[in-house]
Amino acid sequence: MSRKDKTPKISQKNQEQKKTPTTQVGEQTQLLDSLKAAARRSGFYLQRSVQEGKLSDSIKQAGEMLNGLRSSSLSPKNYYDLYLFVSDELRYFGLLLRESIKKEPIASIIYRDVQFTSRIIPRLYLLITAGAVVIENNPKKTREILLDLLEMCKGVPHPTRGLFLRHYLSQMTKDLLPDISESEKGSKNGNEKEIEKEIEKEPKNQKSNENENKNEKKNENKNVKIKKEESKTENNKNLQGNENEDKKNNVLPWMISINFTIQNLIEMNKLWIRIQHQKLPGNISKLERVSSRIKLTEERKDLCSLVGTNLVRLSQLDSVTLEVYKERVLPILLEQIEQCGDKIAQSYLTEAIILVFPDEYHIHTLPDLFSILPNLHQEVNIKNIIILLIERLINFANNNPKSIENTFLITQIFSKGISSITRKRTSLPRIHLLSILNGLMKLSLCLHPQRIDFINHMLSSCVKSIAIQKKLTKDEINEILSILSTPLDFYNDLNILVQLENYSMLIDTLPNENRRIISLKFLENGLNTLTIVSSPKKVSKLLEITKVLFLDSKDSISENEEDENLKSLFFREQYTVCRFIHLLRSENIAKSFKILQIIADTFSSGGTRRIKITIPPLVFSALQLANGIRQLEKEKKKILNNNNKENKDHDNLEDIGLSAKKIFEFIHKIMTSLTKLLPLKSLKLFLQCALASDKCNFEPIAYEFMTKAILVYNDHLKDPKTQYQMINYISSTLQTLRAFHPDNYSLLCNQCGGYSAKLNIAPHQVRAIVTCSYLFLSIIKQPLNIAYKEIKEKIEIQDEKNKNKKIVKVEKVKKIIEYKRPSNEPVLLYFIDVKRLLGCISRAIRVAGSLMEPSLLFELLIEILNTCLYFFELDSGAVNSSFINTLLDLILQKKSENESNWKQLLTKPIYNFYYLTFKHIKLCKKNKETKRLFKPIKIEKILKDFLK
Amino acid sequence: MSSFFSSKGICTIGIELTNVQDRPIKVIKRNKKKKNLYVFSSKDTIDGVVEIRATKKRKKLEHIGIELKLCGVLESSLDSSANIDLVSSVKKLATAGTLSDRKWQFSFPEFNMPQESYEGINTSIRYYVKVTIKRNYAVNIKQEKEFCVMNLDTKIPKSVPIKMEVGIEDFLHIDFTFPKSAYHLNDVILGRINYYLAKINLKHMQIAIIKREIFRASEETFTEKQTMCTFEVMDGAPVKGESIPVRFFLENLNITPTYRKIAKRFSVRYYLTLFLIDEREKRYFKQNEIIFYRKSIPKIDEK
Repeated sequence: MSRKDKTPKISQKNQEQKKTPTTQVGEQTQLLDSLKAAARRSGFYLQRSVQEGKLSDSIKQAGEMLNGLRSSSLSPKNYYDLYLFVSDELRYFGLLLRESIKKEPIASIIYRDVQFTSRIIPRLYLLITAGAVVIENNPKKTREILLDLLEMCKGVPHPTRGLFLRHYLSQMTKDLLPDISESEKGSKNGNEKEIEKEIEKEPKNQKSNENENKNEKKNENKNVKIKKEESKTENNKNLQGNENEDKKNNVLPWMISINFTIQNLIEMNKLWIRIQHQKLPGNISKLERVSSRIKLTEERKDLCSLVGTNLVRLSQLDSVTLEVYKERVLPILLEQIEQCGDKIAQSYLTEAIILVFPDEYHIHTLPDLFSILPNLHQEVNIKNIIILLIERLINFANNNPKSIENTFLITQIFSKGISSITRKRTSLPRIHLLSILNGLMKLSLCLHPQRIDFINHMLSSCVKSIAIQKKLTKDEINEILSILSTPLDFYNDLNILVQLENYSMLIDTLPNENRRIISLKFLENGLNTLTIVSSPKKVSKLLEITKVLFLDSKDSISENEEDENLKSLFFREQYTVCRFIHLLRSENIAKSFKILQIIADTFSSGGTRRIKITIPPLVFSALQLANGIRQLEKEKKKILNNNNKENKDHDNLEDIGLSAKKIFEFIHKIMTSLTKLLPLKSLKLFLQCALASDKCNFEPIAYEFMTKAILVYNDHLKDPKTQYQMINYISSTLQTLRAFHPDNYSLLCNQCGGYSAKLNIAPHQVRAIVTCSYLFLSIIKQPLNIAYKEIKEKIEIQDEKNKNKKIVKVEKVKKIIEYKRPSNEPVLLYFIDVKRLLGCISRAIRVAGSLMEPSLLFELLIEILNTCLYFFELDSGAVNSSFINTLLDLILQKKSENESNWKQLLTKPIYNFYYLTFKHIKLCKKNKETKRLFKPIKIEKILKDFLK
Repeated sequence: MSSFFSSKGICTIGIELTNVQDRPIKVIKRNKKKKNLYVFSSKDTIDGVVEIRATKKRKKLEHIGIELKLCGVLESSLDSSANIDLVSSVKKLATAGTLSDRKWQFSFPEFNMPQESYEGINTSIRYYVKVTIKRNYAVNIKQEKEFCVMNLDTKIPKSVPIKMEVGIEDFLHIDFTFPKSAYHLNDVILGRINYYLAKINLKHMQIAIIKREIFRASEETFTEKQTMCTFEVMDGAPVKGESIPVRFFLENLNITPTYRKIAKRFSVRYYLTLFLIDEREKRYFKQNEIIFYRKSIPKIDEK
């Protein structure tokens, strides 16, 4: 392509920019295609010349082919495409050069001949190709050729073309760079001093030597051809020259490679930056100017890897040891980065250095790296660089544990570096600073997790950075959340986290909604890891950190909002709190109690909304503690009983002034606030407390709780269905209580019975009364802790002494137990009052009898029959056979009254119930053990009725 | 030897140079035909043989003498009358008589030929040995044998460093430095281009070797310019403070040494010219004379 061709292209380019991008792309591909086609054509001829072995022809053809690379209309991407194609074709040329260099002992001839090419771009590509072949053939010339190529490449200051040319240079020489071999490595350090001396001398001599050598060489070549005699002497001279050169080369061949690569990198970087500053045509509008600048920047970024290859090359050299890197490579690179002043280059190169060189090197050169960061262009994203470095180090530390010495020094360097950056770079966005601090925190956690003080320090830095009054952006909030999660996820131990003094300060900077998220996460972490927090101090810190969940704050979202999502979030939070408080406990009872009090204090100011949900689990937690204390007390008593005074293992409960009673008092206190808010729930809780205190044998406390429950029933429950349900609860709870004096028990039974009788709905009344009837014949089914054993012992004693007298007195329960079943296992009775029992049953039958609905009546009667059968089978004398017979008659009678529509009235379940009850009686009559008892029961009529 | 026998119908005259087996050869192209000439230098002895054969034996050929002349002639198409013999020497081979087949050996010992052969656009310097059969009544019969003269410059011309500055106030300041101004024909021009200021968007830069043939006819002076080659030395816009190397091999160029005022009429001079081309294809240039001299004679010169 001649110069004349280019003029129209510039004007075309102007038109291009006015057109839509698609046509631009189209024209680009067209241009690329035509240039490629031309190159392919020349490539074909080149191959032919190569096959024929014609050197000068192939130089011409290769030059022709390379002309395409002179184009300035291609976009960098397309230029790259063409470049790849052409450089691939150039391999053929290289082959020929290799061939001819074997024939022709004077390697430099090819190096000279390619320089006849008049166009600079083709000329230099050919020169590089030839240079590589010469070095390959005669490594002694490496230094000379490399330096010459570097110098000659200066002839192309055009940014894109120069960049590609130098990339080609680096590609062609990559395998030829002298490097240090593994065996040399060891001895290298010894030579280091000598080398340094050499280096000092080096730069001065370098240039003059170079020129001399060149001239000598050229003269020599021509003379060889013409005057052989003369050339001999010339050769001799040259040999001596070579020897000198060799000495030089032997001393530091690897330094050549490093210097060469660095030099090329510096030049390429300059060219790369210059792409940005290319002058645009003057006749375009401002808008177009801006868009073309943006386009240029984009295209430029695509080319970064060309520059980066040099760094990769450097990192691949074995000779670049840590020492060499630190002393000779990095300082030059950093200086270059700092000086070039271009934001894209600065960030790319810094990141590339971090990525390309081993992490071990970075660890030893951190201060150097950090020294330039504050001075980089204001728009360079320092954050990305630091984060990258941090990630690399973390990775390294994870993969090579224990390989890093003095870990704290590293984080200190970081810390110092970052503070100097924030000092000097006032434009550093807050979000970036936060990300950096987050990264540093991760690094610190990775390197020395035990240094909690450092994490705390980081948190305080975060708080300080936020102190500037400016509303947090969404990203910043997310970053803060991430910062807060980092130690959480790392330690997975709330006990450590609460040591972070500044944690709650940082949380406080967040808006309500995010405070809630992180607090919730906090609790969930505890739950997932099942971390027990056992120190009251830590608990109060923990509650301080997550206080947004327990307390209303100024910025909390209004309760009036009927947002379902908010509601469900609130419930999720509170239920998590409920689960969480069970983790707050200690082996030490006193501490546990203290913790409970702290929690209760916090909860108490949380408002009714929260209390409703959170008090019940607190109560259960307290009950558990009470139970634990009770156990301890018992064990303690046992130990005292056994005259063993060594009870060091346990807390001296009396000294602390703590006993289960105190805890029940505590529960009682926190319960009072709940009664009005949640009558139903508090009723159940009172029953639960009654059960627990009963197990502890605290009769007055249990009695108090039962009374409270009944009181709640009386005061707050109005709904008949709930009433029926609750009275059932109360009576069934009462039936299992064992610590009461019979008088008290009987008193409560009366109240129960009374409320049952007052129920509004008849069937409810019947069933409740039937349930109450059980209270009057209370059997001990479950072993009563220690009490059971005592009872059993006494029964056995009684049996031996007086086989026919079947009364056992158990002091523990303070009630005579009647025993009437010689054939079976002994039955322990807790309470019996036959008269009231029968009263209950008769009342139930009476109420049922008044019902108008025959099927319901029938059902209830069968239920009553079943209850009666239970009492009868116990053989307790409370219900006798005639009572049963009367009941059976009553049932038959009710049935016959409704004989006509019987089948419609009786549903299948009721019928089955009836049938099975009958079958049971029948079976009992046959059974050996119960035969005698059931003999008086008459079932003939019913049998007849069934047979009908 | 294609030129050995040349027939003019009546007789053939053959001229052959002897003792030439070790002589370098200069290949010249004239009228699309290649011709190999032996290369001599000044003070060389030119030996040869002349052989005349009558082709038509029955007819007698009368002549008034046979002459052998060695000469170097400056010829110009601009002024054909002005052919000037730079050197010449005549030997009489025969006095008047009848032509018969005959052979002469000749020798011009240590002949002085200070000017080199030259083949220019309008002007040339040619050396030849010419046999003339003089006739009274008819056209003389002539035959030439051309050869080439190349002289090594024993005295290397005085060389001074070249420093050229190109400057447009506040826009451009570039200088070119070349350490010497005299080059032998296979030399390399080495130099540097330094940029101090370049506000103009330069696109590329070339150097060119320009030859000027200057011929002074009686009253007029003709100058013929010829660009011997162009050589791109820079692609792209330079940056302040940068220095770009120039390395240019002269070897493949069809150049001659610089000739000054041959016969007070003719000079061949060479100029090193630098072109700067800007975005709008505008050219800026600067030129400086350089002197070429001959340091060696190639075995075969095909340029």
